Amino acid sequence: MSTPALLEVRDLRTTYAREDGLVRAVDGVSFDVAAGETVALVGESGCGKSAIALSLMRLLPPNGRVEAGSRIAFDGRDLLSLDERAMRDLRGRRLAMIFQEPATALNPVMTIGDQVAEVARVHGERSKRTAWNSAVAMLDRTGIANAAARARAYPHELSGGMQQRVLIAIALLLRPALVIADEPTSALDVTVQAQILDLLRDLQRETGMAVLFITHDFGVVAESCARALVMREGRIVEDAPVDRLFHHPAHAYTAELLRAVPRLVAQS
Amino acid sequence: MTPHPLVAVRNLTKLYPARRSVFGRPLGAIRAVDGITFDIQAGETLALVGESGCGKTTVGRSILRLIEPTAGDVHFDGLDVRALERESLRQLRRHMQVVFQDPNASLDPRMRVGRIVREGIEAHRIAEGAEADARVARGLEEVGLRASDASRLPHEFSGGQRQRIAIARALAVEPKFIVLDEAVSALDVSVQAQVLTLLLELQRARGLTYLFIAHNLAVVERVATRVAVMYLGRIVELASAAQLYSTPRHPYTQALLSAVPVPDPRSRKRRIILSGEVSAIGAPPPGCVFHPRCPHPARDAECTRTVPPLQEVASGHFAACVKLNTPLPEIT
Repeated sequence: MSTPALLEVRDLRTTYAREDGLVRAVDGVSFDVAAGETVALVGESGCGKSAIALSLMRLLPPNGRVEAGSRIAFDGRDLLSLDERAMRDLRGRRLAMIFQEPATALNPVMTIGDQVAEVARVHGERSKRTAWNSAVAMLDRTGIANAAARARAYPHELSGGMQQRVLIAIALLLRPALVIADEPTSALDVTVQAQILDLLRDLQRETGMAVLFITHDFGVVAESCARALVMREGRIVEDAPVDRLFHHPAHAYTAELLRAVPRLVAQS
Repeated sequence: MTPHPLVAVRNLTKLYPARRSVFGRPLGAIRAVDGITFDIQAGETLALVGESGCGKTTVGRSILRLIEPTAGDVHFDGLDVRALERESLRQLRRHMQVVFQDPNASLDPRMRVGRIVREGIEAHRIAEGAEADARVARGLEEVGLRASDASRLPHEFSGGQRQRIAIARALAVEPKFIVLDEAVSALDVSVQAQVLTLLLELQRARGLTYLFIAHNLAVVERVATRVAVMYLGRIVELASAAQLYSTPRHPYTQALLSAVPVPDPRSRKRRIILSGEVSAIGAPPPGCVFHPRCPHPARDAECTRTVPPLQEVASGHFAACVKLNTPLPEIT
């Protein structure tokens, strides 16, 4: 590649300390994400895909560790050598994450408007009113009807789909260059999942952000991503554009997973 | 409907008692299931499909009388399930079993696998001693585990294997009918495919009848003989799997089918994006329960007034929509 990628991951190794020893969650993973690209990180439970997300965000739990020798370059900067202050500045502004379970990711005792506005405030917006107004505009953009009034609601007053829209508003408020979406629709009903995928595609077209889409669902990969990384046991076994991945999978494991995907036969 | 179904459900209704507001005001009854009727023929798989809160799990549990329905009838093999006394209900449970979604919650973590499978065999006095041991061993092998797994604990197994243990437990009492309540929903796709294959083989080998409760129409297609689609406590469409997938007649079924992501980047499927979400079950809309989200081009005021009955639109194909005579647009 001639221009440097937005995100460059080289030989990433992440381990978790458990009672019964060290678990290698990510075992030597390398990949790039270009600006504006949508890349899927796909695999079954326990393959290490969420550990990659948390390593990139530097949000690993206390027993998790990125091993020496791993390199993550984002925006031309060495992510792993940044101090916590610089990292906090980056999170939300250039690099953001949408979590899987909106019910646990949102603060139950804070209105949704305040939670979105907080992102602007943390990143230097002095005026409370400006922060609030930008939060309302973003909630409106994510499809929350009557956003000015709904911004005063608490998370439990919203459905799962609406809560997920709030998380998207929080992640995208400052137009980050890269959004890591960790199974953002897995907890939702299928008709609501379709709405959220549609929204993410629109927002991406509008903002030009890159998305690292973590999912176990090959249907979501085919519909939303340009390229996919297939993971198994902490390693990437295949990295290919989706058309090639689905029609000429190079790795036996990819082919096996694709055969197992339930699909509507009558309609294809 | 043909005579002598194994399971006959008539006007089944389940109301949950009213909650009260913080000021003590009753908030009305919640109609989880609202007068639904269907049969399940011996040897078939009826799939009950719908999104969260549609009442599908309540239907399954009402048939088994794990919960008491508020109104309606359930007959199993000619027996009036709702009229049974404790002892006859216990005997009936030998013939009706259930496999739940989460084996971590449904298997006792401190009980060895052999005992989990054996419990029902002894409770129903099917066998004891060495004969019971032999049945446990055969049962484990039948679901693809080893006889020696009997001495292990559930946590030593993967999610898919634990679901096989739950299936072995259900089969140990030689039931005729099994309710599979989202039994494969929590599994990874490769494991899901294996467990579905196992369920189909067991059905063929033993002549089992299944009620397969699921939210994913793509998973159901492989196993269902017939499919009932539920929305907010009502069946909106009921048809053979072939009819339902090729010519859905209810706009909700059509939207549900179109919402399933297609695992093929070359697919050009048109998608119907429904607006809004399922109404709160405590406050269903008047008329057709689906009308607030309905994309049907002919939707009008009539839909907000008339509760559409389930009508036969083709042989064995039923749909509940006021606008059945106006064709739905093509989606593929």
